[in-house]
Amino acid sequence: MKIPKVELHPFTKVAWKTKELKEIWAERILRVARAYNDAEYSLVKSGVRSCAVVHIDWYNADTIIEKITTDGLVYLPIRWSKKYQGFSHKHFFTEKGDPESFIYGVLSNSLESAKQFREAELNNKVNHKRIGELLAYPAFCITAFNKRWGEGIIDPLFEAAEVVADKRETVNGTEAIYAKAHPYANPFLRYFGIRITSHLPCSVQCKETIEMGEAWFKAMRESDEEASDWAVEILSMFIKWNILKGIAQVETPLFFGITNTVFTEHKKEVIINAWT
Amino acid sequence: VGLSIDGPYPRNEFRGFPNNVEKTKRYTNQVLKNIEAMCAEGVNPGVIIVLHKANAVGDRLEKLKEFITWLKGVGVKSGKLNPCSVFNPSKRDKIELTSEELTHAWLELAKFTMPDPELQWDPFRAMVKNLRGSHLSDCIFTKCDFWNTEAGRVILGDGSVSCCARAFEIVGTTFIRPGRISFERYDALEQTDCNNCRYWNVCFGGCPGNGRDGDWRNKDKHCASIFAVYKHLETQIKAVDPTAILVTDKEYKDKKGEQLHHSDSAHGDSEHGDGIEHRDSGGHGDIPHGDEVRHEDT
Repeated sequence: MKIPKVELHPFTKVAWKTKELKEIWAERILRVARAYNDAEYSLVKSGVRSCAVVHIDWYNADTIIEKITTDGLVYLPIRWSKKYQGFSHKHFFTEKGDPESFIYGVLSNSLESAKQFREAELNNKVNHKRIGELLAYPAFCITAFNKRWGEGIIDPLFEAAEVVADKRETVNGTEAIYAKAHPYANPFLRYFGIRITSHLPCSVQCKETIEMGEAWFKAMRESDEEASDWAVEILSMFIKWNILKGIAQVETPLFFGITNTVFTEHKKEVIINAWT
Repeated sequence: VGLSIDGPYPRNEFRGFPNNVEKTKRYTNQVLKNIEAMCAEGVNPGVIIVLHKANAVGDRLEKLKEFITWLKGVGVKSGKLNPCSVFNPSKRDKIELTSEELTHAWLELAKFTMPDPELQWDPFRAMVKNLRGSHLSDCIFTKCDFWNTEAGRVILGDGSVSCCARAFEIVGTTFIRPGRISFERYDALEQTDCNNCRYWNVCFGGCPGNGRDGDWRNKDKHCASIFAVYKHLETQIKAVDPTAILVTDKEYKDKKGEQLHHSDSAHGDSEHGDGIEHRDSGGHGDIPHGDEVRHEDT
């Protein structure tokens, strides 16, 4: 498949379906995102993962460095990246010290692993396989990512649903598939901070991802029990995700989310039925 | 005061009462009387005429011109000639004009109204101003964020603010304006469907609510008609004044640079109004997101 070179700036927008839903769920989603971020950190600290990616901004660098050091972890900076609004599928590299930038780097529980991660990143050809291993991603997911990424599919959600599709149809030029996604392997709301595992799964029912998700979910619960349950609740809901011209529209019973995604000339749609 | 009427019965039949012709006639006549009454009292309304198969094809198009002349006679000299968009597929073919029909109707109506300096009917007057580099109008010829529609707001039953009701038809439900304004549709169209279009700077792919296949990300389904009218008007202006410099001319671009003119709203984001932490990178000190990191080498 050949993906045309059309690029949009990163962005996300959320249009709540009602005022009441916004009042209830906006704060909950903030807590979900925080619990997820806490889990990403704590899984490195507890040794479940060797590495995690950490973005450090100027304004709170002191706090983060102190926390990392106090926890006995290490951090190696990799690159300076321009700030962006919303969800990005890549970094926008800039010069060191650019005030409108942040540091993209690796957090690890061992200096050796951190060095390996950085080396894998800074090679002429980024070693995605090694990076995936250091981030403790399932082997199948690493392989699937490498293949899809190599084809220019920067947001391979259609592909992750396609492998377990219950039904597919093409109506008026829209290629649609219907599938169910396990909440631990559901990446369709990650643009808005709602996710339980950190990687792009090979399938939205990937067994290894679901197994790994247990540890993530436990870590999230240690951070915020209520928020973890909300994460499962949202990620079990009906979701309609469609993409056209590099723009994704994601509909849930709570809101519409709009964000940048892989470019397609024709509309592709995934209907994720509620997970029960 | 603004009102919508598509002409005397039967040109107005789609606005009437289904299966009740007499009632539709009676109400249509009452609206016409109200227009006369308002004008007699010095309240000259703006009129929106929606173009469809009941008023803009065949002989009915000639009757529509007569209606515009009648309106002028009673004091209504301006208004809009908007294409009808039908969201129900089962009714679309019976009501909505085809691209060829709309092009024909618009060109006919442009030729009919434009020579009369007293008549100020859109989209034609707006399109002339747009070509000449004035502030862009109407909203369909600006960069309109489908989710925020700055030119049109709707107050929902619970008091929250939403956007142009046309968006509800597209997505199938109401929603609250996010408040975060962005123009991704235009970034995409400029690189794809509208790439190198002569009228990009005075059209921007048209109304997202009229997006092809019912999708706001696509360009306006009336693209061919909009293009034809712009081309006609551009030719007319150049015929009258060969030295006129329009926004479509290279000289204009050289003079004004790329920043020709934009929509009512400024580019960029407005306030964060949707209640979601948008992961402005680094801004929240997040520790995101495995897949973002790995994608950096594109």
